Amino acid sequence: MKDAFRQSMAWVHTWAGILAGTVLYFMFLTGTAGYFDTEIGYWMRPEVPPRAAEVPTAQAVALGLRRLEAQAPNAERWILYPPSGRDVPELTVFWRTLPDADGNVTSRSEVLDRVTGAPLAARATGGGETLYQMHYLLRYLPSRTAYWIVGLCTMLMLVAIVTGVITHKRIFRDFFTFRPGKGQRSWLDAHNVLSVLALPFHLMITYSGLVFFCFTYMPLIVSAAYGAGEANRQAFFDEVFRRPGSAERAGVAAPLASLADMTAEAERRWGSGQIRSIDVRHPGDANARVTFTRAHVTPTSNGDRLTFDGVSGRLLEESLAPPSGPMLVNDTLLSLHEGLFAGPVLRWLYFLSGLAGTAMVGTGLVLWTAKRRKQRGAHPGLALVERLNVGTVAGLPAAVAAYFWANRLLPTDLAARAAWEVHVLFIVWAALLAWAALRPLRRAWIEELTLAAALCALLPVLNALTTDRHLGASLPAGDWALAGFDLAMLGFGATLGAVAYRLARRTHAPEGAAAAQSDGEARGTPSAEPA
Amino acid sequence: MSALALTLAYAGFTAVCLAMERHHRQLLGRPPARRTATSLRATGFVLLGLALAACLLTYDGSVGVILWLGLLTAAGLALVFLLPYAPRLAAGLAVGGPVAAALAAWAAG
Amino acid sequence: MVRAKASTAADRLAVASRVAAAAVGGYTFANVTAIFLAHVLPMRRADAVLAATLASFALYAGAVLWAFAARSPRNAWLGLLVPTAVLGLLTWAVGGNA
Repeated sequence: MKDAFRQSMAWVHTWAGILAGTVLYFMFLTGTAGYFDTEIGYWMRPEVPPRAAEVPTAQAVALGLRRLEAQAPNAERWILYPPSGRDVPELTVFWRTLPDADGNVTSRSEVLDRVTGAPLAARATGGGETLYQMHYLLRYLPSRTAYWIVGLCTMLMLVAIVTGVITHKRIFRDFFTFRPGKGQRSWLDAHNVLSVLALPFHLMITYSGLVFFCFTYMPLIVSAAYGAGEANRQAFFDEVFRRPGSAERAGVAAPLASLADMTAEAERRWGSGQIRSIDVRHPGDANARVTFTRAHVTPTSNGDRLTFDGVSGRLLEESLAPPSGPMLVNDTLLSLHEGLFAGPVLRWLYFLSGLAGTAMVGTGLVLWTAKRRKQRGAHPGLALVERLNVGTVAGLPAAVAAYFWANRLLPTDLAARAAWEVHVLFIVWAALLAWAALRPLRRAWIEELTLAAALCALLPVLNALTTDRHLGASLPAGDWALAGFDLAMLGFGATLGAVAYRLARRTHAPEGAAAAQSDGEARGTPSAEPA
Repeated sequence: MSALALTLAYAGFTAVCLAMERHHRQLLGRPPARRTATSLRATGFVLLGLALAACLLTYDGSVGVILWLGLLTAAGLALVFLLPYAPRLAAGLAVGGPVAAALAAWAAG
Repeated sequence: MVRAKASTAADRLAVASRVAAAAVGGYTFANVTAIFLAHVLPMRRADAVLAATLASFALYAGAVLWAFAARSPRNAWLGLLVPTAVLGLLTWAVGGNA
């Protein structure tokens, strides 16, 4: 009986894995990059000078406000982001205009110099932020469609994790087991180890991922309690997030109260340097509202908000209530997922766990086809998946590296430059999928892994050839955000290259246990392993 | 302190690992005696607990635990991928690591 | 669930039935159970809805596992539909929709 249960769970695990695998690989790769999104963005904007000294928040706010008043005096919404650590490295402002005569609305965001308040000139690029956003928005799809695809794949991931743990027969005994050079067994060992050793992370990242859009995925629970329709839904959000109900535009002009005073009040309550964003709704209107959001210093300070009446400057009491139990769980899960509270050490550990997750999905995809080929032999469906695997597991890293190559090579005055950088990513990915379909399978693996390795390892060289913000400058200056990117690319290049090399060396050796003996890789295991 | 915690986690995992027959063979060519296995496992868990303590000294409360879990992942992956290729180095790091980290911490302040 | 080397039409139908039970039956079960929880949890309405929504994914995952672990596709469906119906009735009895 126990065996039938395990077998059925194994079946669910393999099918959930293969159905969602490609999308999950994409999500993990781009999401993991997201833990260093602003550092990547910094590398992608070499014109921006190394981070200037800290300025008082009040000064940053004043400069931001001045820019907004000049650029968008009649806006529906302003948002200011004072510089706060690596999360918001530069003073940023965002505005959305009121609809014009044709009903069109414009949104713009600008990065400003924190000393002069003038826009920082840098090449148009989506930076690391766009890479990160793709992990839940995908690309070329309406956002709702993307949320549903991502949600479905995340749900399948959750099922895969639970069934994986159930199916893993010797989760403790095989905790440290990795036997390289034994074909399919090695892939299974690697898949198991990458899954189990980062299991808390994988479980957290998956469940919290669902929580981000939980009201989109499970809207009926809200409707059942509050009634159908958007108005009722908003009433629920106002209640659960303790939002002083969002007021509509009054249409009556009234000057905005002192942002400086509100900032001072927020800093008095939270401490200095703790403001992540200042959201001004209907500036210049009688129903203006200003909401301060706290910087993510701990996993539970995620939800802290202060809302002021925009005309009187009075703090609205509702925003001060402490969070309830469920709200605390919600905020903590979201905080853990984003890891914005993490300092440098913890951030690298997040990154490492994300890479483990990416490799977990990748090894799973390879394992699925290896096992199937062994059990059932070749057939068209299998061939399709095998090619998809190469083009994704090896091809997507190459495509992401190509995104960075595009950043350095595309002319700075190109129209829609930021969009074109992303197009390059997908064009290269598509090309590598096609390449995988045309080449013999093993050669395709070696060639694409080698390409990915080369694109990564040569990126610092390209950097040196096209800008002066290369390792020769960043290392002596101690600019670790910049140097770290180049060094990481060297590391990825070396790793991918090593895998390609090992694969190439074994091209002539047959798969399986016989290869292990002749390989000499098994020198660490002198006696025969019990089955 | 994070470095010390990492080396303690690694040492703890190595001890627990060596208590297992398969990995004891990998390093020493023979299975462990019953009592050796028990003491290795106990030592391992104590070291993992010390790693947690070091993490809680670095950050309080939940962040300390999160740091510990992250370090366990890093230490575990390092050990697992080192063991088949360089078992003696893998074991040596378990002893040398905490010593080096402790010395460094003592020298720094 | 035994997997034969060459699956018959009956096998494929059984699998399809379980997949449907998991996907559709599971979603229904998760939502009805969560709606029930939102009604009975001893906290203010907004927090109960939030707590129930947070839990709904675990409920869905559990339902998916049940659909494939059950002894037959029929049991898979029954095991989801019966609790769904019971909790649905209870919700209606306790106070129904707002």
